Amino acid sequence: MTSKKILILLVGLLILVFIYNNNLIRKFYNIITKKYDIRLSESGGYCSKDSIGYLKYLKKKYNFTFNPKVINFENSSPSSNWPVYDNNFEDKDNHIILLNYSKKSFLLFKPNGKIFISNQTANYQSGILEILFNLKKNQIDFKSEILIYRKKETAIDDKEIIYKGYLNKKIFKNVPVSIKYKTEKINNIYKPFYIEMPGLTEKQILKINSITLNLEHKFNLNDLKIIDNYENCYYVYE
Amino acid sequence: MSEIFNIIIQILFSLLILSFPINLIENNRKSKFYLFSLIDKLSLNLIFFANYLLLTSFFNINLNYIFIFYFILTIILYSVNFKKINLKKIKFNYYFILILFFIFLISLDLAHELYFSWDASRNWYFKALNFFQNKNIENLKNFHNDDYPHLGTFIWAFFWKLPNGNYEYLGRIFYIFIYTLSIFSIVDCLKIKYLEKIIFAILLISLTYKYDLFSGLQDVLIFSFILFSGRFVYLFFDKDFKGDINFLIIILLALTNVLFWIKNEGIFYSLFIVLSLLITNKFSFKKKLYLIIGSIILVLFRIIIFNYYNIEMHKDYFQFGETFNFELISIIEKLQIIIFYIFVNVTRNLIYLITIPLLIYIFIVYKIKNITKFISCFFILNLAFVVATYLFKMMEVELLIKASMDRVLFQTSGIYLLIIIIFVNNYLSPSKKYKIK
Repeated sequence: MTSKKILILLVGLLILVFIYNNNLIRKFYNIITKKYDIRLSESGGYCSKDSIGYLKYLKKKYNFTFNPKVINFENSSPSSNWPVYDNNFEDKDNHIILLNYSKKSFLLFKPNGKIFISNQTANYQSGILEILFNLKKNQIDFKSEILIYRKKETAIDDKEIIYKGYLNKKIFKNVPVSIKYKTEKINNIYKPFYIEMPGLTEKQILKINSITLNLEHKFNLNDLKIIDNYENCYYVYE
Repeated sequence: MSEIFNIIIQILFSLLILSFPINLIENNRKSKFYLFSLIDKLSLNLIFFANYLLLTSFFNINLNYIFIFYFILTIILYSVNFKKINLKKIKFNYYFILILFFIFLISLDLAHELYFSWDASRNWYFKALNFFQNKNIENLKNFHNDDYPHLGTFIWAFFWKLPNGNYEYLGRIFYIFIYTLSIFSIVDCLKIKYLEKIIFAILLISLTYKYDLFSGLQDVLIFSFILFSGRFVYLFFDKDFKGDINFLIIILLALTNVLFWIKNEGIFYSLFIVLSLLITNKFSFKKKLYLIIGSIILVLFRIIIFNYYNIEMHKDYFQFGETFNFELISIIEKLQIIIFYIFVNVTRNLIYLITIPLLIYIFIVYKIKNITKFISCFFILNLAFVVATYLFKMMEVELLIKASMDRVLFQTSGIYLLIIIIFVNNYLSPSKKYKIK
């Protein structure tokens, strides 16, 4: 076999490897058999992730002549209004599409040394409802300040305080403690949250598996007129 | 099946656009274009077309009219050069067919995946939609990050709208065209057998390709146009190149202009290329002056246009004052984080992983050539830029780095492929030494 033939063979082989690695035969088949909207919905989720499927469905069903407000509660997601947005229409903020909306909104904090960190983010929340401790024991005596913050910078002590309060009581495993604190500062889809409890000893901190902050939704479904709904996705009128 | 048909039509349409104007005026041995390969000519057409689109975008003309005007221009060129065109001379070019085949393969992946990345669904898609719906540049103020340049999304909108405007992703196929062409263009620098070039190109595509590149982000355009810059910068140093250096300067300035208008960081990258070339290449002072004056004009052009449209750079990106007001310890802490993540991301990018050790090897073992100095100079400037970018950011640096540094490093990684090219052309096979400065 001449070197030219070997090289041609190698080219063919590399092309086949590229096709195989990217699963292109299957994808070719899917493009032929599945419509564009279905493929789009499969990749962006119907009522999950960007919920493209549900947005496309609403656009088709209601034939919008305005731009509804789209809110995606998925962690760290942008608005995902692009499937329904049209430059020729005006924005109507009283028509709202809530995506991945769970009736209970919360942030889960995991221990990291003396502090607790949550990599979840909050969007369109009006405040903190309650705090809940998942303890290794049934109860602990809690006597400390609770500091909930985000870091402004990596620099030391550069904190953006979201909540600062003092708690002096017995805390029971997974029993919520009411906070009811209204704050817009909780909303941020970029940065993680931190909880510090400087009054607790290292031993006491070790007894806490995790902390959950229950948040208050800015959009309460009871106050809104539901026009359309699929699982956790809602089209509502305010 | 109709979508496959649409994809093929889209590729052919892109090819039609990129077939002009250089190919029509090159059939003359005295022509500046005679020395260039088919891939180079396509690249030159692309650079010309990108500049044409940029210029027309400022006049807020309907995309259809922009196409019609380009079409008329092509017809005029065609008529003027009609006698020179000899259809019998057209050869079947396997290299070119392979490019088209890879564009088709990657387009299949795009047509299947479809989704947008975070930045694309928040920023870039809306810019493209704006132009697709024939809205003007002023209207971009209604969207996030209006200070991001618009050329990439204007190209997206143009090919989304034309030829038939059926699906959004058809516009992104042109990005694939640019990416694939840029890979084959840099491979064209290699002085090896035709089939070996093809193998090298396929390996490069396999090494760099992932769907995310075409998820609406503009980084792949920066990567590709830097690759084109790499290709033409190589000719500055290539003793085999018998063409006009002034013409290369014009090409480089045209590429600089394109990079200026794709992403803000493109300004820095293109100026780094120009600066590195000025430092390391020994062309005449007069020519260096052309390059300097040309670059200044392009910078001024961008400033004037931004001022005209009242576009201000968002102040919250970089806060120099606050950074230097910090204690030294916090700056050191930031630097530690940045350097750590540069190391992590460099080891995750195969191009860096191969080329940087190779550059060090060349430095140690061989006599240093000017082009090696050029790459080293660019590398230092680029590294300093990456560090400075994150050092002056006021948002949580680590979070930002995690979200973006791999993309930032990817953008310029293409130019380091020149290291492999230098190695192969000059050192790998000593019996076939090619002249390079």
